[in-house]
Amino acid sequence: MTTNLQILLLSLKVATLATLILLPLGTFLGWLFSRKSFPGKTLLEGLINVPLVLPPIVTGYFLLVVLGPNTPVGRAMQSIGLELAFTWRAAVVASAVVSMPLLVRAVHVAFEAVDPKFEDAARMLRANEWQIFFKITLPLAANGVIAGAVLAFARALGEFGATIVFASNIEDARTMPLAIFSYLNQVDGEQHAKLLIFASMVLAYLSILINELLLRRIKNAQA
Amino acid sequence: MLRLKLQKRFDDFEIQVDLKLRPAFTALFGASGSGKTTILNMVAGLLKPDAGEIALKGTTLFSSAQHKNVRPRNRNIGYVFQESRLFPHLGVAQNIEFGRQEHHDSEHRLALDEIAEIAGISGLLDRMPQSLSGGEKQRVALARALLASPEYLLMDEPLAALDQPTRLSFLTFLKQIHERFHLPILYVSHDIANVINFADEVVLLKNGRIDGYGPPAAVLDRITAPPLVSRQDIANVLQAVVRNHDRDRGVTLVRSRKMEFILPLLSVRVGDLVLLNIPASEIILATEEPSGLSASNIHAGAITEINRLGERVMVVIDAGESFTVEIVEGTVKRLSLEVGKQIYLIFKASSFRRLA
Repeated sequence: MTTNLQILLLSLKVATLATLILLPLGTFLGWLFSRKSFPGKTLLEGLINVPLVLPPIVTGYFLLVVLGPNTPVGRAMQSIGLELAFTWRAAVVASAVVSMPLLVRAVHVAFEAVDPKFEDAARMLRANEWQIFFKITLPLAANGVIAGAVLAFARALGEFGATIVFASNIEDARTMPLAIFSYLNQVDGEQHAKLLIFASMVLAYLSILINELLLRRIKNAQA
Repeated sequence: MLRLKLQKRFDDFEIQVDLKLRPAFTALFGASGSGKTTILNMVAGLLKPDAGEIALKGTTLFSSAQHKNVRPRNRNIGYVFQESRLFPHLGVAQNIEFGRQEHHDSEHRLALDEIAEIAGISGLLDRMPQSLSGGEKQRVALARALLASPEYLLMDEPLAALDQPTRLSFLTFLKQIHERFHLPILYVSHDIANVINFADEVVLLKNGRIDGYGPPAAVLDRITAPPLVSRQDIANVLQAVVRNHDRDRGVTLVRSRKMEFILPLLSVRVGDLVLLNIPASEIILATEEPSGLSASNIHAGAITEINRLGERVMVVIDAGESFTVEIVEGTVKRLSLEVGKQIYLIFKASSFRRLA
C-alpha cells in the first residue's frame, strides 16, 4: 500500500513533468498565435482549446483512441520499451493535454501585450529573430508566461477525468485526485482522504495566489 | 549617397518618391499624414515598398526588379524612433550595448564609456529607462543607435515629446555627432522652425510626393505658411563659454567661437559652457553703426541670404557666426537690404535665452 506521501510526490512529479513539457510547446504556440497568421490557425487554436470545455473523460477517451496500446503510436512506443497508456506516463500526458489551453491562452495574451515596436527597435540594432525572441519578446512576456505555467501546473495537479481513463486507477498512476476518489469509495475511507484533501486545497490555493501576484505585477508594469 | 525610388499604395493615399540624397544632415519636412514615417520605415526595411529601389552607398537594399529585400538588421542603418523605444526590462547600459558590434570593422566603432560621455549620459548608465526624462531617453536611444555603428541614421520626430530648451540642446548635440562621425542623417520632422537651423539639406514632402529638395535657403521659399510653419520663432542657437562675471554692472561676458556677448548676470561658473537661443524676431538690424543705445551687444556683419517664408522675410547675416533675423517686407525696401550689404546686428541682453 502506498503512503500519502508517495501519492503526493507522484502528483507533484506528474504535474511538474506535464508543466515542463508544456512550457516550450505552449510558449511556442502562444507566440505563434499572437504573432503569425497562417492557414488553419483558427482550426489549430480550436483543437488546442477544446479540452478546456470537453468533459475530461472524453479527452481521456480520445487519448486512448490515438495513443492507446493497439494504435500505431502505441505500438511504436511499445517497440522502444515505452509503455504509455495505463502507466504514470499516461497521467503526465493526460494532465498536459488538459492543462495546455490554460498555458497557451496566458502566453498568447502575454505576447499580445508586448508592443511589436520593441521588436522593430531590436531589428534595427542588428538582432536576428531568435535574439529578438529570447532577449526582448520572452523577457517582456515572462510574467505572463510564468503565471500561465503556474495555472497549468495547478490544473495538472487536479486532473482526474482524462487520467482515470487513459492511465486508469492503478497504483503506478494514482495521483492525489485518484487516490481521494479511491478512499472515498471505501468504508471509513474519508479519514484517509482528509490529509490528501487538505494538501490539494493548500496547493491549489498557493498556485492561484502566485498567479494573482504575477498578474498584478504585469498590471503594475503596464501602468 | 542614399538612392530612393519608392512606390507604396494605401487605401486612400500613395507614396511616390524618386530621390538621391547626398550624405548630409537632411531634414524631411511634411505635414502629418504626408508619408514621412512610412518612407523612413521603407528605408529601414520595416515596411516593404510595392515597387522601387533603395540603395545605400552603392549597395542595393531593396529592388523590386531584382526581387531583393535586405533584412533590416543587415542594412547598416540606425533608427531613433519618436518614442525612444528603450527596452523597459533592460538598464540604460544594457540598452546601449544591445546592438554593439564586436567584430564590425567600422571606422565609427565606439566604446560604451566613450559614447556615454559624448551623449552626456555617463551618470545614467545604472538607471532604468522608466526613471529617465524625455530628453535623457532620446539621448540614450541615440547612443544605442550609434553603438551599432550604422552607416546612415534615421530619426523620426525624436523631439516631439520634449520641451523647447531640450529640443534645441538635443539638436545641437545631434549636429555635433553628425559632424564628428561624418554620419549622414535623415531627420523627419514637422518642426521646421527648430530643425531648419541645423539641416544641411531639406526635403519637402507633400501628399506622398517630393515638393522640393536642396539646401534650406533654396527650399525655404517653397515652405508656405501653415500647416508647415508654426507661428513659433525661428531660433538662433549659439554655444558660448562664460568668460567672467561683472557683479557691479550685473552682467556676464560670454564668448562663442568668434563673438563676444554681454548678458544679464548668469549663475554659472566661469569656463562653463552655455547654450543660448536668440529668437530671429528679437534681433534688430541697422545699416549704420548705432550709438547712444541701451543695448550693449552690437556686431557688424554682412548679409549672406534673404529668404521669403510666406509673408515673413528671413535675412541670414554672417557676423563671425551666422544669424537668422526675421523682418517684414517693408524693412527690406526701406533699408535697401541685399546680399553682400554690410549691416549691424543689435542684440538686447535680455533677448538671450539660456538653454543648457
